[in-house]
Amino acid sequence: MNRPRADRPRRAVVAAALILAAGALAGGCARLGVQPWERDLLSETSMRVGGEGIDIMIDDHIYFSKEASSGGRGVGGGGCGCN
Amino acid sequence: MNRAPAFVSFLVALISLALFASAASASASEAPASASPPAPSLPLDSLRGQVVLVDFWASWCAPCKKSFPWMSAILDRHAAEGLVILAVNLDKKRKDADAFLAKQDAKPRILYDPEGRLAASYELKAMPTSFLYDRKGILRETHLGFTEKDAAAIEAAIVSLLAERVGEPKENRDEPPTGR
Amino acid sequence: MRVQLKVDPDADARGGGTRERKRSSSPLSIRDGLTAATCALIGMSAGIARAGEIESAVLLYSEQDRVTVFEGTAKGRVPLGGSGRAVGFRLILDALTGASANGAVPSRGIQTFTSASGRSSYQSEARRTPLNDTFQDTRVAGGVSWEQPLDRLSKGTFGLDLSWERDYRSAGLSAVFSRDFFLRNTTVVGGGSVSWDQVDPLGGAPDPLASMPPPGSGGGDDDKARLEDDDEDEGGPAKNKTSVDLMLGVTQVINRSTLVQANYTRSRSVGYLTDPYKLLSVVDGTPGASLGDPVDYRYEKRPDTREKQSLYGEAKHHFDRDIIDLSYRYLWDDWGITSQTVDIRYQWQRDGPTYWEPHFRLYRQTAADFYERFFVDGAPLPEFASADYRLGGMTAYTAGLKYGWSIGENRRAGIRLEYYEQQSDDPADGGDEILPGFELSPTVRAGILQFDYAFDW
Repeated sequence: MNRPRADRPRRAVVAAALILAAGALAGGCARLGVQPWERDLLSETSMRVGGEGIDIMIDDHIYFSKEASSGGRGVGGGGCGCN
Repeated sequence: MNRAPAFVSFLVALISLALFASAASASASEAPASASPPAPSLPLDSLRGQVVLVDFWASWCAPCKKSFPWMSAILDRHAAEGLVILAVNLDKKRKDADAFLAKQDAKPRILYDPEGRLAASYELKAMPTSFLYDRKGILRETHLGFTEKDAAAIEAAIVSLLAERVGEPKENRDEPPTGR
Repeated sequence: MRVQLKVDPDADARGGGTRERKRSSSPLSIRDGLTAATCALIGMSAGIARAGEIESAVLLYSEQDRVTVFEGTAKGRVPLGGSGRAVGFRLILDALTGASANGAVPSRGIQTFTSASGRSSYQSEARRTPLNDTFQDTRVAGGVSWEQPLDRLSKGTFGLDLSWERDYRSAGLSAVFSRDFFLRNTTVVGGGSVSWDQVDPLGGAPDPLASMPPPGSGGGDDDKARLEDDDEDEGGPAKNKTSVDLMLGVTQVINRSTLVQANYTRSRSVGYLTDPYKLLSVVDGTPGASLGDPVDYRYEKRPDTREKQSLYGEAKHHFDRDIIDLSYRYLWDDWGITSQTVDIRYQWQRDGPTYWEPHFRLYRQTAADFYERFFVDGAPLPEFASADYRLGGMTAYTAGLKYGWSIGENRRAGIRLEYYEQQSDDPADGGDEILPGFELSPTVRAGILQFDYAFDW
């Protein structure tokens, strides 16, 4: 199906997202990040990413029933990085 | 409805990039300056002749919480034979470490490295990390992280290192027997 | 560090969205742990994430004039031994009451709607959006997962998800792998899932775009007879659907206080994606006394494949006490739907281990290519059509506030209140001429009240 009207913002967003992701990966080799002993704040429960909390699970469940979009969230990463 | 979504997405992308950039530049400027006072060091020389386990830990590290009762237990078992444990704390705030220790009957000797300079000089790759030195002060084992399997392996290594005595057989053999 | 199974757990289990799933009745008890915080923590501002954790919540969702749902949920992660292996679980129990829009447009008089078998019927009020209030529903959904470290820096998580309600069953398997790089500052995640769903609509699955049978044509039996005689319904056997999802993501630690995540998801569903309970009105388009009166009703028809893709980005920043969480999702599919979601949460840490967390979400969606509010009598039928408001253009806002507190070192609780409002963006073509004075796409408003409790070890 053709949807030319939606392509331009879509390409811009895809480009922005890819740049961010590539930047994150590239930056990881160089300066970005912390030493293993500097993860005190990242280890907190509220700093977890990826739909860890029950609020997110409930919200996704609600919005899935009321809208045409679902999911998309990431999983894992961050945290205390222990062991 | 055509312009608004593109605008919203650009705004969010811009905010994220700004956050990203400021964070990146902040972390770059946090690189350790050579003008700061020298890093604290471990008193390993004064412990020559004993087996030393150096453990880097922090109150926010969940496996560290498990390692403390185990360290106290092996001290109970082996301190008499010459085991010493130095537990280096890496909390940025002293009160977090104090709160953690208040809940343990912690037997290891606690050292504090809040700025992580000792940790940096040891190039730690994980939390917790433990280094095992023999009676001559030579580093014999490094363990990244702490699990039950690690606990058993480290204790076995400690036992074998404790059995190595310093300054033994070779010299005694060459001495003429007394009472000639 | 934990990777919780989450390749879109219940989402494409429902694909085109069979119906609203917000009804309730289950008498779930609130855990005893909801006591006011009396102990102060020594020095700790917010809890550190532990290896083992169980979270639970009870929820009341209530739409103005429509559906009400009671929901109880629990999720948890139980570490096994010291090897890094863990078992995860997830459970959601829903009971719904109330009514939901069936896709027809309002008319001057009462309208009567029947199921595909013609055996049961319901009516709508004059001049109001027709609502289907015939289904009672209880739904159970759950999943278990196994987390297996592969080496010090990588792990695999394998999951099984099941869902059951009277007319819908789903089973799925998933596998997600993650690996850390650069002293665990970067985590790369990749995974996929497959699910098999079966719809067995009450009254049988209707022939798509067929006319609704007139009321009373099926013998006028009650619900019980209809359920027992499923095999004899003209709608035919149960309908199936298969979905495959793939996901790729990266999480990057920026500095001691900041984390970002980017994710790409792609999913493809094949099979019966139509909602068997939704239809479209065929209205009289000739000017005169009967303009706008319903002449017929046709069951909706959606394509039998749907391919969706989404890009997601999230950033979390810790301000030494408070935490902000910002996320954005851009989604597009081959039904012509594109959507954007912005979600902001700000955790405002107060004295004592308590916090307030305002939450704001903005959602915008374009209509599916085959979305039509109604048919005009005499116009040729399109290949696909649906008047399900959830496939239409819309803008939705959520504004909420949560109050949370810690109880001792291992437990925490919270209360959350949210308001959700969804407005249609697409004016119905011809609505002003053929159906003037009727609100064709009313605003949906809902309130959410939640109590939650969690403990870790």
